[in-house]
Amino acid sequence: MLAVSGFLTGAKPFRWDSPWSSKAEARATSEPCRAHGLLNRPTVIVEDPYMLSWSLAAQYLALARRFAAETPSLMLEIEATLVWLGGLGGVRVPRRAEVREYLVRHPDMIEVAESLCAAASRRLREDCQVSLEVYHDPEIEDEYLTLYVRQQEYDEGLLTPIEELYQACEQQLIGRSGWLLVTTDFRPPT
Amino acid sequence: MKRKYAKPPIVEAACEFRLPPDSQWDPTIPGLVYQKVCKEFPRKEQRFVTEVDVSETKEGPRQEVRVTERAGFLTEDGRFIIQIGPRAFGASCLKPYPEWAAFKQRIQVAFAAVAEAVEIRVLQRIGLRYINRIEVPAPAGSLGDYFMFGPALGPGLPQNLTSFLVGCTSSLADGRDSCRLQLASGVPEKEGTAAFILDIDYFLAQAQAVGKDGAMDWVEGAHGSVSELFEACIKEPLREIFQEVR
Repeated sequence: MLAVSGFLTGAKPFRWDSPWSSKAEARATSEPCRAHGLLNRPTVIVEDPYMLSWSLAAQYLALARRFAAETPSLMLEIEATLVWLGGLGGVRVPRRAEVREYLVRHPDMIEVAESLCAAASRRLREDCQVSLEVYHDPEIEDEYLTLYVRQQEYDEGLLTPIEELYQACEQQLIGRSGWLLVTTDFRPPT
Repeated sequence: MKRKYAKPPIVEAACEFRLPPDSQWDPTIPGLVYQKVCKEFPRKEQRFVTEVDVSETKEGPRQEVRVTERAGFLTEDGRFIIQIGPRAFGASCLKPYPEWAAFKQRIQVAFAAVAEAVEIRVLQRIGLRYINRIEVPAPAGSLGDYFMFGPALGPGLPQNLTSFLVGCTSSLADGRDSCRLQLASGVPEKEGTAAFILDIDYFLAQAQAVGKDGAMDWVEGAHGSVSELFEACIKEPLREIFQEVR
């Protein structure tokens, strides 16, 4: 029995009934998996995204989305970004559907979001949490990405790294179709 | 008979044509194409695509990373886009996926507009790719209940997967075409679910085996093969999730 545990959500394990498990074990590893209609044994990459900042599956997706020999796919690029962000220490994307929809509308923001989240993960204190969300302005029809920086106890020291992060991405935002704000809402990490 | 679903898992469909490296091309072609498609695709945008090219040389494998600029022409609602870069163009569509006929019509518009702007004799490559995003309840059942295609690990290997990727490339149409099937773990949108990306990438493997007049027939045939492969990848519980229309 092969278990796939909840991927990036920490949900309960997911199982794959391998043709080689239990009774099938006796048929040994050299036999092609005909039980699943496959002529050749597929490549399998197993990695724990909590152990590494970038899981092998994410690496593969990131490369596959950009191989010159393939038909380009925007959705695969966004999926790779979300997998990659999920593996970054201290970065959360709680409402993924909203972020995914935003990046579909503003694909030129993918690079900025990746770059800023990586910088936040590197530069902020270990007890800081950053949350990538889409802010919807309630008064006018406007929305933009927001990176909320949260920590258990707030002090003035947080403003400096927030300012530095914002300055780092300000140049990248020039000419983009969307926007990204770095701020805090003074909430505790979730 | 082809199956239909009320909630198909397709999040993106893309069709791309590439011209031979020695074919005629100049930077004014995207502008000429826009003039022909601007009523249906009025919105313009510029996209930069970073590509990794791995080729075999006498000195060994060589990797080249290049950034190419592509012009994008979108419908008003942003669901359909025509993209044109140097010697490459195509049409893609985001969810909700329409009927095949509607997507094919956009592919035809793109192909006809480029064919009027530049001479097309043969195609270096044609690709038809469908990205399916599938979410299923995480605690119930096993992957094998949903897919005919998945990881098969020997008894001595770790069985507790947190992420995975399986893929294979098959030769079809007497070696003229190939199809790359990939199933990978994705990022779920809802708590308590597991997400998978089923990527079906069907392409012309024999460069220049299809000419201008046969291009749309190739696309139609490719779509038929992709539909059959998709059905061959999934099992009944997924058809229930996609709400098959009978």
